[in-house]
Amino acid sequence: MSWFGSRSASPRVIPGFGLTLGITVAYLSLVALLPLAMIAMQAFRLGLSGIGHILSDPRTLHALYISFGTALAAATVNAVFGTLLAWVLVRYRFPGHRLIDALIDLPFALPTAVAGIALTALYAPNGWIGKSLSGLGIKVAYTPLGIVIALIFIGLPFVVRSVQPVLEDLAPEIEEAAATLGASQGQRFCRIILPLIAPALLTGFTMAFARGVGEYGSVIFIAGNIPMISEIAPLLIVIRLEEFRTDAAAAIAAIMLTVSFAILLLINLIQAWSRKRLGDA
Amino acid sequence: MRIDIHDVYKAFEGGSRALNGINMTIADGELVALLGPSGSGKTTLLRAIAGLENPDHGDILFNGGTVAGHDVRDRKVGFVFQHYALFKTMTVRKNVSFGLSILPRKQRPSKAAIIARADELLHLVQLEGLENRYPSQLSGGQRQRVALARALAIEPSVLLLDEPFGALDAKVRKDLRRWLRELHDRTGHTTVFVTHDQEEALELSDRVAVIHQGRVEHMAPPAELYGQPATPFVCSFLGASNQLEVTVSKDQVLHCGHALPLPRPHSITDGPHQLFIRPHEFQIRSVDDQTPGILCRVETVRLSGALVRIDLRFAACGTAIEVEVPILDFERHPWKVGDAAMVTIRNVRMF
Repeated sequence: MSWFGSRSASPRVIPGFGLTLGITVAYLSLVALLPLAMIAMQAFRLGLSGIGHILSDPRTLHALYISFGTALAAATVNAVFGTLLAWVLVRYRFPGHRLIDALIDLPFALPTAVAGIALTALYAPNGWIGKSLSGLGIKVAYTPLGIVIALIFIGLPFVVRSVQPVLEDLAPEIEEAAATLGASQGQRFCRIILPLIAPALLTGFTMAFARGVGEYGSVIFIAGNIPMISEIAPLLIVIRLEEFRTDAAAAIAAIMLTVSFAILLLINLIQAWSRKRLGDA
Repeated sequence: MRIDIHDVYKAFEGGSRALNGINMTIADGELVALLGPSGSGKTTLLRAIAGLENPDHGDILFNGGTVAGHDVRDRKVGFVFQHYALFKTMTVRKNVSFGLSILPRKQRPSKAAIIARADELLHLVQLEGLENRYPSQLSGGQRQRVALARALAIEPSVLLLDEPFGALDAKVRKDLRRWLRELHDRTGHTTVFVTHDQEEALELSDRVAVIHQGRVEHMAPPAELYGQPATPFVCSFLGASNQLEVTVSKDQVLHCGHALPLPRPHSITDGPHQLFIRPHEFQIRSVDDQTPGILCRVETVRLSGALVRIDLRFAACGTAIEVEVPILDFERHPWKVGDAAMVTIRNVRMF
């Protein structure tokens, strides 16, 4: 029946393919593509040499390094502990289960500035945790470590919420089958469960990472924003804007955009590959 | 391997009794079906043999030695799940070789030997050429055979199958059934499978255990189970039966004034009893024949393949019965609704 054309191949709930597609494209252009194009244009005006010049500024380079590095570290920590949390929430029933389940979403709901102030109060050298940690010689607030902690807090729900439903759908027979074949608990997790949750884990990791790279509100309080130590790229953009150096701000933004886009593309390719391999069954 | 099950009890959370004192012995190399309605405890029993459930009470012995406290991993049972439970992140070959590839390094065969063994098993289950497919690319019947090959790879002492053909369509189910019997005869594994399909149980197995409310109602070869069921439940569960309330006094079986035959041999006490008659155990003649019998009236006539099912009602009291007549007999005498008929009974079972 393929000669009917692809447009009518699937049943249409909303009438008017042309109208709906038109609105979709216009809406996407207005909301997403146009602002992105502006950044590209601004950066383009600088030219490659201009961008190169801004990139050669060690302060810019360090800010980018801090933003991507801390986001990567935080997303990695969240991947491990988020999976653990999801596991506990799916596999065990205990008093307070529903409360903990609800708490996971708190970082989504909380205004980021509130989170930033709370974390700073806790980890500052005179705060509860900060005091005992500084006794051990570990400084958290006003260092990249503080940024990582803020990003762990912000990114926690992403991994938990993407892994949790996959774990819930996992038939117990799969593990039982592995057990009857002689697999130990460790082997069951590493060889059976982990490959099954890997795509969801990767999705959660990516979202936590992307969120971490762009995070501003919760970070600037605990980071202390010391250039060359704990200054993040989004803050540097704000600083450049305040100095009326719009092109420099756009250049940093363009670099962030390119790197983020490349990472997202890579992860999507991995996802597509694994989907194609496993099918939907 | 011989399996002895002694007085096994199992209750689930919430107090429902799944197993209620199970006793049975499964001989080495035997093919046994656990047959029962859903919720009868047959799957729980199978899982208890595998070690996936721990009995609250009682003992399970493999070749005379208890396996209580032995983990699933150590029992070396091949278990085939109803919905296959294949590892979908692995190819067919990886699925089949999983059991061997996770062995401790000292016992593990070489990579080449594992692949050779997996391919040999895939040949056995007639899936050559699909080694590198993923489970999502296979049909239901093919997946079931992968699950079987995977279970056989660890050279299990016993093969346990939970509703192995339940999720397949009728044609595939029939083919796989015959094929499983052949496989069993060739490999000689002690095999236990769970089913709620009586045809499957009777056709495939050496002996059938009918499970009802967590107990073994009757365990016997199919012919005996069908011919001489031990309990009213087995009688009514296996095949169609007409059930009549009768009164016995001084070797006379009475139902609304008619004298019915006594089962032979019998040890029936006087009083009310239940009489079971299979639809094919009636004989139905026209009234003008001079033979005695029960006068009935034809209610409905239904054609079903090689058999004709006729619903009749006793003229005296309105008791309804269902009678099966071979199509050839029916062609000689095509019964019509409203006809009067003389019914005699060839064989009965009484409880």
